[in-house]
Amino acid sequence: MKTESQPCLEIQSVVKRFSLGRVSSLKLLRSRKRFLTAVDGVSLVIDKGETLVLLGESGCGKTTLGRLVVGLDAPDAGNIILNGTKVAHVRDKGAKRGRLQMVFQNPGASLDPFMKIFDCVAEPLLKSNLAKTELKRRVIEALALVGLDESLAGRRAIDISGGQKQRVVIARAIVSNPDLIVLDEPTSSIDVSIQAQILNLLIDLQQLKGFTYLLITHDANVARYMADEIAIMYLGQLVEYGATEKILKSPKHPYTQALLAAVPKLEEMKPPAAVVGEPGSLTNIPKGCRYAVRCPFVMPKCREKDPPTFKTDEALVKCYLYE
Amino acid sequence: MATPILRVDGLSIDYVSRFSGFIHAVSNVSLELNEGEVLGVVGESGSGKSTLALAIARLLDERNAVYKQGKIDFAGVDMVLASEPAVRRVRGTGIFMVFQDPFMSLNPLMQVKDQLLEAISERSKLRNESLHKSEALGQAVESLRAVRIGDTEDVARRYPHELSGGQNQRVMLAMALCEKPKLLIADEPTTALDVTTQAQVLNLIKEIVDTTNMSVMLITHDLAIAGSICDKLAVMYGGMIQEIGSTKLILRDPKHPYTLGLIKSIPNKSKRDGRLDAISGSFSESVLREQYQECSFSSRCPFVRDVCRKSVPALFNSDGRLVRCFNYGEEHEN
Repeated sequence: MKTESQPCLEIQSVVKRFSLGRVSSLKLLRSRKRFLTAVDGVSLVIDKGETLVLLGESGCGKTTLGRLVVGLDAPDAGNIILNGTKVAHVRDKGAKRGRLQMVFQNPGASLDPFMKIFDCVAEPLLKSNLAKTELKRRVIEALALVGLDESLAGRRAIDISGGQKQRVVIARAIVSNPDLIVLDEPTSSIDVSIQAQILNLLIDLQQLKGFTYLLITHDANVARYMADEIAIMYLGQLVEYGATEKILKSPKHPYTQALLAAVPKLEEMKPPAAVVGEPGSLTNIPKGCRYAVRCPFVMPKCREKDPPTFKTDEALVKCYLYE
Repeated sequence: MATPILRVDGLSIDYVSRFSGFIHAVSNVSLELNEGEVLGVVGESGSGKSTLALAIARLLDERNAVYKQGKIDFAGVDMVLASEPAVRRVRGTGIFMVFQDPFMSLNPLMQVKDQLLEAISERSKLRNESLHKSEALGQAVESLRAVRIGDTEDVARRYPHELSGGQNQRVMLAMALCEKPKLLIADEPTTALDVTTQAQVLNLIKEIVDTTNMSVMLITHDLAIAGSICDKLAVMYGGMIQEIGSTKLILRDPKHPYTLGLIKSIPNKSKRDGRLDAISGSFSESVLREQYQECSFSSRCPFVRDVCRKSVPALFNSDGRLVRCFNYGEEHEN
């Protein structure tokens, strides 16, 4: 599958648990530590210059995986390898700066409101011992690339609009020429009329500079436009993973089918098809397949044993239907 | 002929701020909503859609919001001029509002069933109905069943923090069923929900309309969501209605450049098929300050002409809907 192109990022069976504190059912018994497994054995590969979209609903672990990739959290098991070297936690001494960048959902919250735009964008370069003139040149270049005028550099984040803030955040992410940019819902807090501008900008930058993106979203339309490959997450696990057109054209996993059917479509003018049940919770994971309680095709064995991942012609699918 | 339940006529709302003067949040909005009809009000932030909704229920903060002009007639009650007790009666029995975050609308210290019982007792007080407590409880449980919340008896005894966002939004809709309002105003009711839960809630709203003949005003930024359950659409930008008419007409054949831009900017292809048709520029609050100077969309419009920068177009009738654009007529407002 990935013979010709070189992988930029490899995620190998990564697991991340969070402690839920101690719980004791009986006072006399010793209390036991409980865990929430937010990411449970996820493996992914992203090729250089491509975009992988992590698609899923809230609580599926997609943001946790994004944070693991940039080193904001450390995995409990498994490896994350960027261009041949393991990603270190940001607090580690050996962590190299500037190779990984992240763009968060809310640009207003990820910019210091009183800092000059110039300083916001220059931050990733501060530890790189660049000469002042070179630093200035790089910042102005990054601002130009995201379509912002040089004159904005002297203003503060509170003085600019939401769309401009998102552009500043993107400029900050590209200024250090990172190997990988993690985009966590980059358009979901900005207005609909600006969304398409930002998506166009991200693609322009990718084509111009060859950036590699890991894009996290819940929006199937955004995924359709941005992705080379899509990975769909449900309760901490990948349920389907493959090339975008194939997954969107003929989704295999029952959850992918439900997720795509639930998106209201403009031309249909009727309520979208609804799945039954509530999204499951990571604190109370059922035995067997995690989607079995909501699945219309459920079989007895789905409730017994968690299905392995099967390889079909089009995608990797974690469902017994494709055994 | 269907009977209009809500009639808004030439409504203008200003916000007054000590530092920045007047903001014309809603300008000259007229619309009608019939019994059992669903109206979608679509617009981005700053379009005035939420102000319009709050104005109809008279929930605006009267310290800084001013009803400048126009009338709101809700089932015979003048919502602009009516006394506070009369407005309270309308809110308790006529209009029900559902907001984006259901958790903010529910009392975190009350069980779900007690909140529903409170709504029922308020309704029966305002309507002078006498209701036995067991009957009221029956109605509360029945309303939870109607919104298909799963284990009804169990949910009734829970507190909002023990329920998911989708379940809480269902509790809000169950409360709407208890109040039996004539008009349900839903302000971004699914924005905080997941896609699959959103689909369930949209289906539920549609079902409530079909079974109870309630009218709904759905406020959203998402044209596809509005299109999925609304009979009529009002597209707002810069505090004004830019296009209003039947959903089918507007979505199949949009006339206003803003509506057209919104539809074209929805990503429906792959990056390999080329760039998205984005609307250029961004909304600036300054268009809300200078009223009737220019078309509020002129700075972003691909079809802009000189006349658009000189005055605000009137609403023109074009192919069965109203459009505020000089491409469809010559007259201008005031």
